[in-house]
Amino acid sequence: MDSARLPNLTAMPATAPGRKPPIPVKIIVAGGFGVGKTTAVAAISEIDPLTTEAEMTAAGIGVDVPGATADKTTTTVAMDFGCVTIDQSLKLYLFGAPGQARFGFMWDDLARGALGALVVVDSSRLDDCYAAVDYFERSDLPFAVAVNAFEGQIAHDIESIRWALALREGVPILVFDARRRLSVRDAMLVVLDLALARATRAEAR
Amino acid sequence: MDDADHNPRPRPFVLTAGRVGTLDPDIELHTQVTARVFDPNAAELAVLASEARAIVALCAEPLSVAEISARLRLHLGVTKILVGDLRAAGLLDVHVMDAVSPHDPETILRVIHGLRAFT
Repeated sequence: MDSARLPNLTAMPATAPGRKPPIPVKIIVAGGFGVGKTTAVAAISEIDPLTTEAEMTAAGIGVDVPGATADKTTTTVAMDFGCVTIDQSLKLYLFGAPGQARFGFMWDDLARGALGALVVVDSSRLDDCYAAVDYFERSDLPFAVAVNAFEGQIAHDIESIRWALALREGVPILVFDARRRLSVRDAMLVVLDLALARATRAEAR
Repeated sequence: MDDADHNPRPRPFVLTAGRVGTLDPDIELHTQVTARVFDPNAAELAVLASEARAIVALCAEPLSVAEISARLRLHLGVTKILVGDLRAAGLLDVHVMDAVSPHDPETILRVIHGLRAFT
């Protein structure tokens, strides 16, 4: 039967119903293929990263016109995510977003309500992150660039990378190790500091 | 769940009766969902597709839309539509008002303190 592959309902725990859900907050981890996004999410997440598949309308950034249907195809993309329970009433979600320019629509979906984003960069393949950097430069979401130090090394120094990516003055760039929990945590704290500064400014207005 | 390979899955649009796209803008990736019905033998559940029943069962504990999608291996778009249906049917609560504003400094500070406590 069809239901065989679904959880057995009678085996579900008889939990005390009505536990209040936590407030969800989210940070986006963006970057090109194979730069260490999922590694970073896995390093800090309290659960093994989960994957959700979403149907995406694929079209190039800057080409999309809402309502226009020509030249669009639907693609299924996989998105990995993890979470960190801050306390009973607050849960941080980390969504790894595919970096290709044509998934710009998906980023809009992801960016809505996000505190900020971390763009993960492989210093030997800077090309792969242009789309993500460009997207967040144009959005008003706080973001930082994290250069993943493969084998403890980066191919170019930080200032050269900043120059090559044409990063705005206020965008922090840091080196981190996507495999290490505290290193990823520190990178998240840089994003959260930006988010806090922005939120504080907004409140003062 | 082990039988997944042996049972051809219905195409996603079969589950959603042909609907595509997100109908309810309240239902986002991180939106928390909780069940209203906890008795697996409840009459309201008997009429549902097995996927919909599985969503209600999973949400005995609060769960995000993304987690529901991943755990049941349902497409995100399909999950959103089914969650919307179940909400409309009064079987699920979708906790929209609880979503934090990215402009709330106090909440951001709590996240910062929580991460700093990592060892």
